[in-house]
Amino acid sequence: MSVMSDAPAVLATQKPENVREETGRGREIGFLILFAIFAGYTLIPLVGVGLFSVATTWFDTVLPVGYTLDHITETLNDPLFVPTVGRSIIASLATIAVSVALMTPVMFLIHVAAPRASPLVEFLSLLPFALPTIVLALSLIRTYSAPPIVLSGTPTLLILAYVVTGLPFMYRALDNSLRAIDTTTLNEASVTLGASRWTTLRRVILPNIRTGIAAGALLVFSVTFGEFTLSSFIVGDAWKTSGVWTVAIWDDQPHKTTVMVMIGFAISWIISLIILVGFSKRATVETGQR
Amino acid sequence: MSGRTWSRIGLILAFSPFLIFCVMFELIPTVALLIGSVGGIQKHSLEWIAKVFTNATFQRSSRQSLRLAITSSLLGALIGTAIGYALTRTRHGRIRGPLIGLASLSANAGGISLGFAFITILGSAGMITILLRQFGIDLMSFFSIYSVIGLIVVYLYFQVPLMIVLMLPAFAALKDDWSEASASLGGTGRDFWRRIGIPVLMPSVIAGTVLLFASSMGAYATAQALIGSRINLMTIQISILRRGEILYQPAQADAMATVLLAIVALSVLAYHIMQRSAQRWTNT
Repeated sequence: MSVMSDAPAVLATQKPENVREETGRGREIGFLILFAIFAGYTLIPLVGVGLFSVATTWFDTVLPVGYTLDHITETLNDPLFVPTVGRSIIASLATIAVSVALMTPVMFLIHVAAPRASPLVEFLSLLPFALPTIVLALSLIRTYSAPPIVLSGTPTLLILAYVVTGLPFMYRALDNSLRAIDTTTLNEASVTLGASRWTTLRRVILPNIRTGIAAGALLVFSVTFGEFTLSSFIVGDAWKTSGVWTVAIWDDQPHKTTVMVMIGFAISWIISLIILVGFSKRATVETGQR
Repeated sequence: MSGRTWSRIGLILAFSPFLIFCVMFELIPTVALLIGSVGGIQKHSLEWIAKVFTNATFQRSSRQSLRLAITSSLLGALIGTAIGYALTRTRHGRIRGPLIGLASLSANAGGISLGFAFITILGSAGMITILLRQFGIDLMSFFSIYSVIGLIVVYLYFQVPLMIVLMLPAFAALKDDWSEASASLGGTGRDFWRRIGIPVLMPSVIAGTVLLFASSMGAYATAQALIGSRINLMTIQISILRRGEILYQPAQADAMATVLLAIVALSVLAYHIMQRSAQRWTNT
């Protein structure tokens, strides 16, 4: 069902194996080599792009000849930096707002009043996983470039496309937190005390699932900020986002591209760390937009 | 249920924004794509779909995409399963947490950032390329980051950690008691793996592999950043046909996208079916 692991919690309780202690030494060394290769493989590309973003000249030496912060200041002072990053932030925040407004009531209802609708909501929410991003882009352009509804080329369509790609993330985050708080009991208690449904949702349920909403919102932000495929197809240069700009400047100003890449990595790592450390032991891992 | 139950109409009204959204932005566009791939309702024809399988260029793009997706998913599954096993069994408990964290972080990586990051280490002036040159190894003579092999190396960056996080619950479900029970009944280590270990893990391994396959079939941004249109992949071909820099054939783009959608959707379906049978063990 879910691409989810609560492995850290599970593994922590697992007893160390002591049955085959003596035969384990060689195997343990093999494990450590495997870990080292994995960690290196994961970190070296980041080191490479990080060094490139602060390198003066670097083309025939292993490490850069000199280091400078000029590329970073040049990128931040580029006349296109603020507009493109600004658009990406606007699009991401709008996506979060729409996603939360769209999904929270529905998720609340399938937990308290209409469990029978749950498979349908789950299906519709997870469907975007089966839609490659480029296919989603094409199908949206085809549908909304001719009357009755013309949205092609507008930020509105981009944001709605982002909402589609964010549905699975919102669904998982909300579902997890609604499960965790025993929504049914809270709801019944609140209604028994005379609260209306709206009051229950607003005063009882929402405060309890705030972390779930925040986790979902952060995940949505991390998949939409710096996104390339949808923005290049749907709005392109007409409403240039940071992802489209990052790619466009690669040929002429590769150092600026790497600064943007570092910003992107930093944002998604910070967000993942907040979710991993701050919210719960559950690490929700999904196939993002590639 | 509480005294005040929801009326049917109230429920329908509460659900309608979400349902309308899904119909408008998931279902109708998908149907529109299918209609587009046969050239519209009035003068429909299967020529564009047929062309995906008969035209030499399109054939090559699907062959390369499949080669890339199959190789990277099998390698990713193999390496990810091995590391997942090592993480479960290692006696160095303290490095387990950070490595699982690293895996969860990089499983979400991908897109243009990853493509550019790899160019800075494995491109013609990349860090590792130059490092190897100092040892007299000319990496560029047998490896190029701008090739299918290069893309496999890049895709493994998210495939391996994704497989790790998918496999950890499966390995955790493999209880120590079972191997003890097997041993006390006279089973050897080999018996344990053949009769218990592999059957329990297999659904998760297959589920993970098809998910990796789907994720690399549909990947576009990573490849676009890395290779532009230098390699003929299905996603790259779709973008060429749609953008029309060289040739503008929207119906052909739709047909290609429909074929890609069918492949990816079937893989994701297979993933869900296998995952459901894996949950027999991982949910206990």
